[in-house]
Amino acid sequence: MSDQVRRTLRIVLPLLAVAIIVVGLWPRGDAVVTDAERVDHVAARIRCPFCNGESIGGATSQVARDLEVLIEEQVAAGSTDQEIYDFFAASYGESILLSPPLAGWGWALWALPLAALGAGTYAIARRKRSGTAIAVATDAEPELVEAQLAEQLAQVERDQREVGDQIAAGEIDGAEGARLIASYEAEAQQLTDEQHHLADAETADGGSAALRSSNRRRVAAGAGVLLAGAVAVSVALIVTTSDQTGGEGVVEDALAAGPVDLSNVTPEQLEAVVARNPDIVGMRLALAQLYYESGDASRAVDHFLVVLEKEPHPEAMAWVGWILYESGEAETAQSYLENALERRPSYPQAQWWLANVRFVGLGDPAGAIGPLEALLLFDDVPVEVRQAAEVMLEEARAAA
Amino acid sequence: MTDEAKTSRSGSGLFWALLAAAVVVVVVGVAFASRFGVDPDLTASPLIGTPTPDVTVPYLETDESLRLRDLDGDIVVVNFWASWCTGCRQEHEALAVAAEGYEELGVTFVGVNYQDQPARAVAFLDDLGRSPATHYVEDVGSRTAVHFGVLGLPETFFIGRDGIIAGKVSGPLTAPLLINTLDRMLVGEDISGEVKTGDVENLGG
Repeated sequence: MSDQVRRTLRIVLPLLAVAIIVVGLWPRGDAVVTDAERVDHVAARIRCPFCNGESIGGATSQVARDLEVLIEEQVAAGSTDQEIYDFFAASYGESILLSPPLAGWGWALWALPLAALGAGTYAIARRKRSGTAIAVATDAEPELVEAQLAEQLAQVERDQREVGDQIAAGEIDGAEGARLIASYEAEAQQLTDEQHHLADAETADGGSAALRSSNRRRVAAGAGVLLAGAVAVSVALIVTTSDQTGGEGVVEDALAAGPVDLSNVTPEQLEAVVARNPDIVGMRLALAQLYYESGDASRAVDHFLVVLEKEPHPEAMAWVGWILYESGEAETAQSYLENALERRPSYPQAQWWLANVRFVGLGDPAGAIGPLEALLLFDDVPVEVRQAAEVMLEEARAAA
Repeated sequence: MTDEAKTSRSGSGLFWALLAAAVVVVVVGVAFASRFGVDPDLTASPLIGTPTPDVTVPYLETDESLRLRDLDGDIVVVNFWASWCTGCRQEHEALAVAAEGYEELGVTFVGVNYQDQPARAVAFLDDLGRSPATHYVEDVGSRTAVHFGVLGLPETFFIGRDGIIAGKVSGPLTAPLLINTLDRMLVGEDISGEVKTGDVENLGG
């Protein structure tokens, strides 16, 4: 690569890098034109408060649609984007905004990349000014220069000998010859000086080998500190997030050993697993059912209610409904079962329970017909349930 | 200056730069990572100390509607509930009893039915009983919930006689908490703050 090309690239490449960064960071807010686009733009930047961290635009729930309508109205009324963000932040706090504001930690988040860019530019500028790093960038260069110098010196010496021969042969007159010899001697002296200078520099360089290796050690230490920092951050992340999940690893370990046969597990064993993994809904549901099967409906309800406190889980709802029915609370049982079926319409067991609650518990055979018909549409209903359901459906139709 | 000195200085500069970068990365990283354990939903309501939102909500069981600001001068308890919310079932009796007991002392209860079907909400009240002293209203289009920054159910706001939101409870209310809070407000104590009694529930994404 010629020096010309190298010099050009040295200027063009950093400029290109800066241009890419600037283009990438340039706010594209101006591209939003129509009201609908503005609604999408704003909805994508506000967290839906009920939707597991999704934006209003990204979530599918009814709440998200309600909030989108609110944004539409504000856009139509001429509010600026910032006014809409402010409206939501006033009720929910800044954490509702997905683009962190320039306040508190949000400020640090925006400033860090700029600070890193500034620090990098400063470091490069300093290194360039001091010049050392780039001048001795490659090991090949001094050797190349040395070889060139030796070659030039040899040439000068040959020329000098040739002129001497020509003077001796009388081909050049004495005065002219003496001038030429003097100029060759001066040139040779200059080349020799340069050789010495290079040799000195190399000696100094070689002498500083120990120094360079100590620099290397420092750089390695710095890299080590960086690595330790990364590890510290990872550990902090793992510790804080595992606090939240309650350490799902325990169950994973248990499951890794092979499929767990719940028929061999005692409620006490499963209780211990659930205690270690309080947020795993499936485990708790299994434990509650185990309690129910072992005749302890009260403990079963406790666990179903823990699930319902976290989420309106249809299975937990249906089970609570069934246990309520068995304890004589047919009205409330019906409400729980209806809620469960609304959330999960393909739930034959809940249909069967609802039919029983209505037919037997509430004396409402007509109300049992719907759930029974829905139940009989499923293929995977156990034979005894299917037969019982068919009998009940006949009786219900006759009574209604 | 000799080359040796220059090399040495540039090497130690790199060391300090790396050290500074490492310190910054660790401090910032740990600060951000530590926030992962904190549920951002649980930040204190920014509404405490601000005036009651000016919202008008239709009644659940009649064609009339209620403007919340018309209740200024009373101590107002605004409770958000739904028939699907188990915590709301738990706290319903305490709210209904308190509404009766505190009516004569100038305390008004507003039950805002949120993200629910009116028929289910009415069935809930049929089932658990309704207090005649409570305004049961329906939050059409989640408007009232947005003005109150509701993050899940149940949530209850306490508004002073001056129309300023004084406190908030996330999670099911208990009778002692409700009575204690109202008694303190009635004798003019400052209750400013937020209490979390348990998890609030959502319908999910």
